[in-house]
Amino acid sequence: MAKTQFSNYTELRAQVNGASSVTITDGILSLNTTSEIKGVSARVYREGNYGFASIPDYSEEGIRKILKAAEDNANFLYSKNNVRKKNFTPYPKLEKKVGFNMEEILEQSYVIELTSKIDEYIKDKYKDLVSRTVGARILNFEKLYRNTDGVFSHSFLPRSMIMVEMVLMGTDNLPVSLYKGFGGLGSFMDLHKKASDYYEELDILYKNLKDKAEGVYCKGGIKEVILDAELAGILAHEAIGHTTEADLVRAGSVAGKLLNKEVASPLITLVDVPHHVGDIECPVPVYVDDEGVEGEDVVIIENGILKSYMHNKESAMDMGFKAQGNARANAYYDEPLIRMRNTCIIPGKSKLEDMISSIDDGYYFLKTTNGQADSTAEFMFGVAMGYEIKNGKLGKALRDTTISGMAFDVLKNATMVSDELKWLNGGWCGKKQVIIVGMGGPAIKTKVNVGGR
Amino acid sequence: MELIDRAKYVLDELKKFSCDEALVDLKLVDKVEVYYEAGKISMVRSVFDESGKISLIKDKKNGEVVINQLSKEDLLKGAKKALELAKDSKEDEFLSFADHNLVKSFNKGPKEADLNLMYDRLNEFLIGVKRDFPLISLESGGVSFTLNKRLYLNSHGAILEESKGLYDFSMTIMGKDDSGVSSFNGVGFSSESLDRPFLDYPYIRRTLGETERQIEVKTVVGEVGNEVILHPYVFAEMFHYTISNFLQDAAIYTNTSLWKEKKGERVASTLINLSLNPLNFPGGDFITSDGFIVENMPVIKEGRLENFVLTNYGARRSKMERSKNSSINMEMSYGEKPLEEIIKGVKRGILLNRFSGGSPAENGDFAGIAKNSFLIEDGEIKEALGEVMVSGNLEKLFKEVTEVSKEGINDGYTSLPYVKTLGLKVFGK
Repeated sequence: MAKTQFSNYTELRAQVNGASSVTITDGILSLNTTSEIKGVSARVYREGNYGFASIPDYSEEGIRKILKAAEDNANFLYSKNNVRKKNFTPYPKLEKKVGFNMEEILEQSYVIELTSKIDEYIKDKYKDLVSRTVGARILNFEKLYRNTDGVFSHSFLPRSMIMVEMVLMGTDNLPVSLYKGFGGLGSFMDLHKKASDYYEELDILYKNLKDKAEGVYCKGGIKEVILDAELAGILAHEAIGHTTEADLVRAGSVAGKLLNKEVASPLITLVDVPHHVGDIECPVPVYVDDEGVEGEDVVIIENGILKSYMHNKESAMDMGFKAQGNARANAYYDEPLIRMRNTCIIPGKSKLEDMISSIDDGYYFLKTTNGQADSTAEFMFGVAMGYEIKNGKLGKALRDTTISGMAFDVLKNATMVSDELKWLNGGWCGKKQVIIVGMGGPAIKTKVNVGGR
Repeated sequence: MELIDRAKYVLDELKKFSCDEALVDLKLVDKVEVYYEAGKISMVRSVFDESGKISLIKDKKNGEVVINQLSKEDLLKGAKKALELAKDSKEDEFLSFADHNLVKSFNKGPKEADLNLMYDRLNEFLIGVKRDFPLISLESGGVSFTLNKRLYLNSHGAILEESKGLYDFSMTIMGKDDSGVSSFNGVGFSSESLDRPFLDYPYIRRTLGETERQIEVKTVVGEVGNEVILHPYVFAEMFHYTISNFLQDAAIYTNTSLWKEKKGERVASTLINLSLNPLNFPGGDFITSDGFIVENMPVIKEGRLENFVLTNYGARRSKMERSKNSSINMEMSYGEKPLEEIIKGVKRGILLNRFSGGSPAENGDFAGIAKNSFLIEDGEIKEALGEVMVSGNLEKLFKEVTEVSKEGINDGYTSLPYVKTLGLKVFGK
């Protein structure tokens, strides 16, 4: 892909998304499938006008066809549009091959056998369940990327999850459920070796469900709470992260006017990390993004001050910043968008038990169902598991609830941050294209609006 | 070799493997999209994609493979992989593919995109919004044309073909001025043509106008009242949750549905007449995901539960009747009263334009935030609201519907009115 062959900045990406899925519901294997979606895409940039094309064909003829189609699309737009920008300043050349230490040949029979054993354990041990589901979701992303600035990268990213959901009849004779995912980055066979490795965690899940079935509803209103790592992670991603994506900043998100201002307690440092925190590899390592930019840490909030946004090449050029590897696409036919990678709040110094004992009347929220955020930074998260805190001690378990607030206010009200970083298993983000992300954090003591019944 | 010949070849090969049943389900997508970001048209994107699902049942065990390379060799390789999967699978007596031998072909919509018209309509829209709605920030969106072709064959002799050409428009917007920014908002439509300027759709204009008035929000303390008018999209969301929690496969065969034994019984206000009618919408399918010919179907008629939403598999496993479709194409009978009249009758409540919340629990309880919504007092729309939570239960929401508006939104996928319910709680800080 010599630069002289192309009159405009051009990218080429070949990609294979492989997936295997197994679902066992109440002992019946109701899903047993594999998929492989592969193809090539090209993107051309002509003075602010993008042309993109893709085809499920790896042949030279196919590649020529989509290069031409992408060029034609860019030229069409250039001819109709009055947008004229300068072209990108080239980013450093690089060649990188990552993620291939985890390659394996996975037999579906292995997945079925392991999930079946987990299912049998649950069935034999917890006879009062109304329903149970055990599933496996295995994803493999292989990408080959090249651009006219001389960047070449080849990456392989596997995610292997086992999911368990249990349903029990509550004391009010209405069903109550709880879900847990196990696994994350890595091959299925590396991560999931024996069913018995999960028995202890399944016992805890069942106990939590039992507590929840006998649990109480939250009292609504502004409450002092501890958001455990899952909720801190989703807060970092949904409520803060999205407002600091440069495309949303340009459109007018609330973070657009807050750069270099105090937006959180000095205890809060929030980072979007490409691949490592210290020596630990993150759940979704992105070494080179889908615009050929090498991944760097984006420090979004540092000691309470909003320091930077996440960019692609174009927004970085428009706003006078440097892209740091946040342009990501999910499948070969998707164009790269500004996306988060692994977003987390950096741990503090407090001990979780001290945080709990510091609250007289509040809640400890542990598991989320989902979360949604907004341009205003107002967020809502579903909470699937938690406990009352009464006089510094954990009380009764909670039924499902919802919490909400203005994210920057919630972070300004943070008074304690625990010393342990935990990542949420199996995170997803749904901005135009659904894509895998990492999100995590320590536990945070703050105030939020809690939904009552 | 034509696609249908390749599909027949693979099906014949699968028969040689002594499968109980087999199917080949091929899809071709030819899509072009004109996309805007930050108010400017920024990209033209063409996607050619294809996919093939090969699924089989052998000795009551299922294997299924999805690939997107559809040469004869690739399909055959996929078939062999599906056979391997089935060998390692477990017996499931409820498995069965569409048991019919109908040979039918369905077509609708244009066959190719008018790219110039797509650009011109989008450009005209962006210019019009800047002119008529100066406080609107056009975050992202666009217009696309997709030609979807599907070819479904199974070992019972079914051969179904479908071709659908459809334009889709969507926009994500927010209101913005020096004082602040509103919540995200957005609407769209699907249509077989782009014969009308996008701003000619009344509900698009209404959404833009309302969003401009949502930059400044009022926070309220305590309960706001229980008179809630649901935007058609919020009502669609609640009905979607209801289907998922009470009417669909997993909810029925895992016995977590609270409506499992309620067919024929009153489950909603008598004002509710809700159907799934894919055949009435340009975005609707002709063939179900599991290979049957789609028919329209009432779900709730005058408040009584008429039908569940079960696939062939879900029906067999639940020992119930298969539904005529399991689409998202909701259609509801409109009422007699204009929305403005319904608003006039509200003492204190809200117009809930968007709901940001989690999926309801199995018992139907849910809670979330009211977005892009307005306070209603003494029959008048007042300020936009911020930090207001809405909670309730799906069953109660439907039972306590008291009014249904004369007008609504038909966006090419659904057609629903505004609905007033007394079955929710709304409270501020």
